[in-house]
Amino acid sequence: MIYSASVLSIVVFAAFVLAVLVLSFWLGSRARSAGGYFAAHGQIGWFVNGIAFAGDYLSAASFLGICGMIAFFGYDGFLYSIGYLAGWIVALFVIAEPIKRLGKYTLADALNSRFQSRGVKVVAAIATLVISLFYLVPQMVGAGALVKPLLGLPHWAGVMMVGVAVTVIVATAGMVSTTWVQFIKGTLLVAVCSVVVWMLLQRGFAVPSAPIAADEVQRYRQSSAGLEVNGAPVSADNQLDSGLRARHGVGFGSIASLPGGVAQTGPLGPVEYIGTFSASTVTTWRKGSEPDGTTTLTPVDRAGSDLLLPGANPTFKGVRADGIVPKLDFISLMLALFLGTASLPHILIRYYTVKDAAAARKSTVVGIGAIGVFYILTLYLGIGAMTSGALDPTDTNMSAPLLARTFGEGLFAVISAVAFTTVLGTVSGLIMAGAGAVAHDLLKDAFRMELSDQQQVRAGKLAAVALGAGAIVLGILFERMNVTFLVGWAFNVAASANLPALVMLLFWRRTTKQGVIAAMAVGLVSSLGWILLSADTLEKVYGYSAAGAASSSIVPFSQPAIITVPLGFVTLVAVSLLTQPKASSQ
Amino acid sequence: MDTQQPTGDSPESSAQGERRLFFSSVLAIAWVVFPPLAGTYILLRLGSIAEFLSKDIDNGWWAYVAVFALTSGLGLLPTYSQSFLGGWVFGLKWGLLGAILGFTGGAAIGYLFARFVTGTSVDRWIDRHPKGRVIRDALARGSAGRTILIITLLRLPPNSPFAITNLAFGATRVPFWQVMIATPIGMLPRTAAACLLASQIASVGAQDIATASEKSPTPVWLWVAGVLVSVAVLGVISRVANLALSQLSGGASALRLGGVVGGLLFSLYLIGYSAFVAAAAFDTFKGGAPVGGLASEAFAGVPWGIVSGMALIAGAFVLAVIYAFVERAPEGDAA
Repeated sequence: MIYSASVLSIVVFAAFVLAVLVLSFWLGSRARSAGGYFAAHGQIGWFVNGIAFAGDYLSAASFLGICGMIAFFGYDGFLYSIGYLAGWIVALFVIAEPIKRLGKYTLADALNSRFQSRGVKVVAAIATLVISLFYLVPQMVGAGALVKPLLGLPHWAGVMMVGVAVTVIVATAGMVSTTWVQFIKGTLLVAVCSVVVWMLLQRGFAVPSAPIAADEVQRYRQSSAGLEVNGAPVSADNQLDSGLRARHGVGFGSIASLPGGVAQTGPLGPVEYIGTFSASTVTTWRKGSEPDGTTTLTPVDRAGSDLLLPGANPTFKGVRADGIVPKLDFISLMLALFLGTASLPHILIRYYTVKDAAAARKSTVVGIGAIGVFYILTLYLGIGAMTSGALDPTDTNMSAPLLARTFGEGLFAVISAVAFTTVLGTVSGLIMAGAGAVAHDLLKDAFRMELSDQQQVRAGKLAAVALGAGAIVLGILFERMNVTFLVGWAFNVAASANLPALVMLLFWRRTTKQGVIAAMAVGLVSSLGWILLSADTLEKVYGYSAAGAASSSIVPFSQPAIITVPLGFVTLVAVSLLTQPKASSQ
Repeated sequence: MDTQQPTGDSPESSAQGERRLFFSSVLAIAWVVFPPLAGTYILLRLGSIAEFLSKDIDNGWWAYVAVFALTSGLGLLPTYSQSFLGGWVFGLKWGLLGAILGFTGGAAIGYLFARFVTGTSVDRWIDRHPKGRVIRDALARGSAGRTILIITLLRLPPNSPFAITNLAFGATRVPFWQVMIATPIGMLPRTAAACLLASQIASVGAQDIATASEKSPTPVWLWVAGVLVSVAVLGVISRVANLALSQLSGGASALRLGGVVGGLLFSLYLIGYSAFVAAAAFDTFKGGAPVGGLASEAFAGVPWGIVSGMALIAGAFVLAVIYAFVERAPEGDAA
């Protein structure tokens, strides 16, 4: 589909980004030392840090990805909301306070606190870089998806804009400005989404002016002459949903029938909204293809109650199968989401920006509150997008902004700008984590380079620029993938590489540095290897057909955590037992 | 601070005290030996006992509660086999309720019986042994909240002997009402696990455990995996409880209530999250069609999938607030 930009959208968007950059430059003048650059001097208040947690964590995957997945597949997207939030329980009860006590700037500081080992530093820094890159890709993809309808620019332009803006933010002021960007973004995201959900509830549900027939198949094809929609070249008047809108008053994604046969419900309460949706029939669109490369979209009416069950998305379809192996993808992903949050380097470094363990704990509680409210809202946003006739069937990530557009261009501009700052906030945190790993862990500690405080900061800024450039390239390459799906991989890798070492370091006294190094290396390599050889990757990254990917994959399911997390623990225990220090002879 | 005072009983003569101490020892040995033997017998005769109780299900339930209270209180039967029996005959909901009521009644009977038999003899014996005195004081001479927490922790581990702990509470004069509050809380996780397992096995129509695996459509290895996961979860709870108790026995200054409560809250959430994932994976679909679990309607047309998901999200915040409240410390205290 193509989109046309509006002046209002451009003005609001430009104002947001400009405000964020000005704030960044202003705050940047206050952070000169390494302590200021990497950890904001440890002086961020617990409430601000808590909301900044939400700003850091509620990434493009949470906002664009989850809403999109719910809008296209129903309950499966909500499973991500549940898993993402549940992971904070591990962070609060297991990780938060010890990590604050043990570390200084980076995750490697905490892991190395007992050992003073170069090996631990190197492995932890590599793990941080890999996980941050995995997490960066979906954020950049989300940015690219946003600027298409907002500014009428191509995907790569959006990726470039985020990459440049974030690099400027991180390279100028580090953790101080990153924290405030995340605080503003977290506040705006929860507030604006609450307003949209309130408006949704006030609007309720309505059926189209004329029912959509099962044979109203929509077609589009990319030919040498450009994109063709239903046999004619795409234009402002011939977009993918133009015909539907002309005949039915709505585009893709609408209610087919409401309980009691009514045409519209009027305002609904939060419980009533879900109950009414469950009892309704929804027109969804099944994607197919024809031999000449034409993509078809066929209307399929589905019961709302069915859309409130897991298993509609390909990732979760095994839940509905009878065997145990197909279900392992689902179980493994839920495990990764539960364990992954507390292993994400860009989340963990936020514990160093507060002054003590008590503040770390309180800020986690505030973060859980803000994030929890947002995840509850995602269910309503997703269902609203699914039934408001505004979906772009070619791009799941655009569901929430397009839902906002049904309430007017103004709200669309605001929510798109908030989404863009969402990406800015998360990417800033990720690049900060990566920059710290390079400058503090690798250059200073692992390679023993003599760096003054100022030189450390400069090295961190150079690393930020390099990471920003890498993120831009990857964001352009992975354009077509759902951002939540990509983040699921990052959680798998983080849980496999970091969690066993973190937990055992905190709770098992016989943990040795060799055990930590081995566990992190095995967790990282095994989870990465598993993902790269999985059927999902073969199909979505290497371009195999679904059948070809299933037959060529050498791993039985795509989400590795259920195997690779225990593998990390077993490796750590085995290596630690084999490398126990000899008892001193008095 | 609700601090316990030393007992108000009149001093007994030395001979009486020795005699009571002897009876206390006999009681302790009996309560250690009897329950496992009787428990094994119950599990072997599960089918026929269940048939007897099922004949008149309403009166059977009340009989189950009364017999449970009496036999567990007098240390004749172990609690796990009676919980299992409850889940087997009455299903998870009523079996769990009956078992918890039975436990609470049993704790009352056991406590009062132990107090009657031991008098003040055990208390005075403990006074002569410093280590025992530290443990007794940690248990019975602190604030009410602290004592309730300790009793709950003592009840939590699956291998915690019910009858012998009743003896300890009665003999050391722990306030009765605190035992009554803490017992059902502490017994809940393991009792729920036993009732759930029993109700699942009974649902396939088996007469005993041996035939359950043959009749169940679920493969045996999955049962084994389920039991192992349950054991792991209960193991985490036991570990947390034992760590907390070891802190407490070291004296009041060693207690970090937040750490203990944090471990318990984490275990609670872990159980909830695991149950949610298990329900989605194994209890919602059969042959690709929804059959129950998350597909069942909770209320007002809203399915359990939505309700349980929302509960997990909201529950995380509630637990976090409880933890923050319990662990509140002055700013700057690195806890």
